[in-house]
Amino acid sequence: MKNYAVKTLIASFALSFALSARAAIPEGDAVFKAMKDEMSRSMAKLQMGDLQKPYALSYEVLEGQSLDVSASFGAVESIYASPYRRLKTDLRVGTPAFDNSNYTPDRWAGYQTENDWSLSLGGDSYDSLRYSIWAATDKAYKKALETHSKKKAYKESKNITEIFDDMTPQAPYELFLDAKTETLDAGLWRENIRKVSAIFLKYPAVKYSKVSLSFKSGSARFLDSNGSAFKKPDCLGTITIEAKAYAPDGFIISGGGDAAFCLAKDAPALETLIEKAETIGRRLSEMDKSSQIKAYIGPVLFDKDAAGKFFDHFLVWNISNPREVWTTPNSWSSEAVYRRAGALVERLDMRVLSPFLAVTDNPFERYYEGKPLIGSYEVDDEGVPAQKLTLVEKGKLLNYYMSRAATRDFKKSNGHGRADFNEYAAGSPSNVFIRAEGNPAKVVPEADLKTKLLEICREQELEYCLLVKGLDSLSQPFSAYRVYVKDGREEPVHGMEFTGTSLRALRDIALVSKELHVYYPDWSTPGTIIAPSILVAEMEVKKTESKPEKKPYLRHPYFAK
Amino acid sequence: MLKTLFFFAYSILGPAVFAADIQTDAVMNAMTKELDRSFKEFKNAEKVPLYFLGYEIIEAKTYYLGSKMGSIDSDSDYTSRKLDIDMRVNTPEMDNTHQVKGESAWTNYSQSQNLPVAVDENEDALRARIWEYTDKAYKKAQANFTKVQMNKAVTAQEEDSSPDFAAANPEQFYETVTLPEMDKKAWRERLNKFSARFKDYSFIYDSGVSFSAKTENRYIVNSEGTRVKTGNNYITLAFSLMSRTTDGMELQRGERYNGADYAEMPSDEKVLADIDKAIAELQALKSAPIVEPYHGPAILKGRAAGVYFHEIIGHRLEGHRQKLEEEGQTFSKKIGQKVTSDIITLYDDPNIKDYKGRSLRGYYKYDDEGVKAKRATLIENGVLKGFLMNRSPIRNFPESNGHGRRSSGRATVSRMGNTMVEASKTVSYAELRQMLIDECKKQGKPFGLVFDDISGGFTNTSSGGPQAFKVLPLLVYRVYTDDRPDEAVRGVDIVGTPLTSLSKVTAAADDTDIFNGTCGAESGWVPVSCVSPSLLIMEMEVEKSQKSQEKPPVLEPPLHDK
Repeated sequence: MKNYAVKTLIASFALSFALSARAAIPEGDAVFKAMKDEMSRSMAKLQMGDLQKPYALSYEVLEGQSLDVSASFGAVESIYASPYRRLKTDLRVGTPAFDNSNYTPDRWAGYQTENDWSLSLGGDSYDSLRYSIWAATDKAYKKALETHSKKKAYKESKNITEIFDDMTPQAPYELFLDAKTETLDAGLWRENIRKVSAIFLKYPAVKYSKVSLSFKSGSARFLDSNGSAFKKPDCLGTITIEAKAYAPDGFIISGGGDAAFCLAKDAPALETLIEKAETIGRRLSEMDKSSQIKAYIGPVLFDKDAAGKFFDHFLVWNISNPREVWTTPNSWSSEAVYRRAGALVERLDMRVLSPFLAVTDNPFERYYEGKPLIGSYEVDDEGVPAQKLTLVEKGKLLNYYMSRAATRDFKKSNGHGRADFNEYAAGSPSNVFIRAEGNPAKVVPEADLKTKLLEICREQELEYCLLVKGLDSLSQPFSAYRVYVKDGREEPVHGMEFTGTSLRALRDIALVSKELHVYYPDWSTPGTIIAPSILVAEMEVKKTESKPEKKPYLRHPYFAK
Repeated sequence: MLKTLFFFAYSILGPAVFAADIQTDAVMNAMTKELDRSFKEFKNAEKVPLYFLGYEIIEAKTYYLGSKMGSIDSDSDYTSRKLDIDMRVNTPEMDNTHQVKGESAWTNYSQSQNLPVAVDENEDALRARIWEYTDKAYKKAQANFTKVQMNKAVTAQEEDSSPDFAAANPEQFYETVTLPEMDKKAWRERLNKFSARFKDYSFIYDSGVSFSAKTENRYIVNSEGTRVKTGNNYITLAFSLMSRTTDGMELQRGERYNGADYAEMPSDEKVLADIDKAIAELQALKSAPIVEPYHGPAILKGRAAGVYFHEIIGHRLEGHRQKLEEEGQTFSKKIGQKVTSDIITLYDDPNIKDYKGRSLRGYYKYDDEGVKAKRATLIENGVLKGFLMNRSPIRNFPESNGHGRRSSGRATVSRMGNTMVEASKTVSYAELRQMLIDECKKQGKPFGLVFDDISGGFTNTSSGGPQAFKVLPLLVYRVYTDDRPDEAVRGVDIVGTPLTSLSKVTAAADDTDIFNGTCGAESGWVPVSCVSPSLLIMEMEVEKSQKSQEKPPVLEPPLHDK
């Protein structure tokens, strides 16, 4: 491999990441050596008969230590701690203009790279690592040859007028950070998660609950045949609290809360988690007074996490994955697209959001008001340096997330090629900031947002308006609060769905809170949305067609005592 | 109810200790209390009464180590507890588990997924989950019964109109099986030493060594008064190696050492010698000729013969298959008839803990329905005598013989435990081999086949397909009638139909061997053993095995690409 002298200096931003940029693979690193040696051999010699050789190859090795704990009602239900080391192989045949990527011959097999989930764990396991990398490369090569020929046949069977490059050129880049594997104290966290789960012993209304911790910490090593290489910290911790209660008519009301972090020092305090569980418990306890509403048309206030979910659903998801992934229809499915491109990608340079809103993405930010931003990175999963992006200005879409796969609009990665371990990299978000700009009249303190909601309600001569405090999905039944114009009191309501919702809702945002809130979406790559609470001028809500559950026959054994 | 029960202890510590243990056993207490409450309250909660409720919690502690090419690649330790619920409404004659014609039998099981419960000894939390899952199971049982009633009304009468559920004695038994802490460091070193042995061979494309130590304790309670806690230890050391021929055939060798105690694991010398032998066998297979379809005499070596019996007859003697409408019912009406050679006796006895000093994986004291394990006499001197029974009665076999088994999340059906093949007349293996050669000469065949190792097989028991089986050999030799040495061959599967194949067993050797394995069927994966002598089969049919189209790796393994 060429020894490119691209030196990178990054400000010291995290206590545990000591930076050491070098221009060569670290000496004495058996994992890198095995990756490098097998890559050199494969690029030089891997060829089956007179079939084409690979034109590009990359390896990514993730290693570290994981801890998973789950508990319910004051008792641990599972605990699992394990070291891991895994290999991802992305091998391309064909040409950068048209290779084996962005296509899957088989819808059921999915669109996945060739992986080995259990590489040798030891530091001195060069022979074993080489062996595993060789085996994975061989499989990836054979699969790539077949996929490429099927993709060619697919293209020839269609009238496809626009073909975009599968791999755009990229200057090699090297970055070697000191990545320490951190461990959480398994005994302490076993006890913490158990204690948080025990909070629901106080809430008879909560019928089912579960608290889970998932933490992994270690490093990611990357090497590609283009000359890029990196080693960086790779960590993610999530704590999820799930709880369910029944509305009087039998509809199940869910309550949940998440916390996320990367460094062990940022793991939430037990008291914070307990307070989160208490809030969920209190909220669900109100649901025995909840009723169902028939229909609603009017303004909706999305509070904190609900606003985060709103932006996730309508905006962020739709400016990600800009390249569609094709598939060949078969007898079970006539669908010729495996994964659609984000719906807003086609609206570049158009107004997609209310004109007083701006959206940026910043992978370099690590905290917002002390809260960890888990989308942070220095180099993406294709070895491209991270970039801060201006996505929306004055409501107009200026940019979207790019990997090395070209689109009609962009022929270069913007450092957002990210992927789950199983996936090929695709344009993906990191830390998305949504802020008001240039129109102070549209920004009010959080505490005043409800007053503004009621003012609009009054103007529209409505008896009440809707306030959404937590939201699992915009396409499923949800619960919320009816806020009465007369006295501002809040009454829980449930069993309703948004109807006729479209991307239009983004342009109907009328007001936002001054305060921004950190929301942790459920993406395949870690990321964060930092957004204000929002007031949408008009949304339509209908009674859900789902039927309520039959409530439990017997009383909960603990509360029946 | 629980307080008045006596529990029989299986231990040198004596019953008093265990009687005391059960009083403080949070899992048993939670199950019993929730069972009593649910059975009482649900009994007449709807028009169709609840008549039986059973819970089983399977607690598994598993330590797993894997090593490849001299280095550990897996190291995990995990404990789980999972609940299974057997919920029955209406009457034993016809309940919610009755097969709906046109659907698979197990679709009416009252649960459809794994149900995890607390691993902590916390009675309140355990009861909360049991309550949650029981409620769902009850709703499903009621809905299923409505479906059953309608199906019964609009479809023809079943040929076997036996009830859906058999009575069984309430059992009380309490033991806690444990496994001493192992020396993990020593095992890691051992595994690395074994797996490094494969490094030197360029024709090995994949290899690995693994070690697992699993302790399983099962808690079983039901509304008839059964209160059982029982368990087993399963320790397995295994190695495997794989290669591929240029024509795409995958070749495998390997060995599994099973035991209930660390002391049963073989010495380093023994494992390394077996690895060397397996490597030599793999190399021989790589250049071995492909056998064309063949029909003639063959010997099944002890372990292979055990698997053969397991596949071709064992699954067909599972009781529930004799009445399910979609089953082939090959042996249903053959009781009292001769089905194989006079010298063969076949039975299944889960009570046999070990054989010739080696633990049997199919050993258990109580099945997953809480019924005491009993010997099931299947064939006596060549005559079919009975079936493996769970609590699903069939014509003339109204009771369980303790063979109701499952893995978590599945409905219990009748399964094998320790399947024992015995021969009343035996010869030495050398004599059996000579008999093979003599038979080949008689039939005008230039060679016979010896099946040394079989990976497993599959068998179709449903009436929708042919009543055929396929057994997948791993190591086969040609034994020539002239003085040529034995020759390894590859690429054959044993095929046949059960009635014909069984009738061709003619002689047995005195070299009984054990196959310990894990058997998969509709009720999940269960540990089993087969014990059998080597058998001479007068006529065996083999066909070309299905092979992949995958070529060997393009490049040599990295350590051999000089």
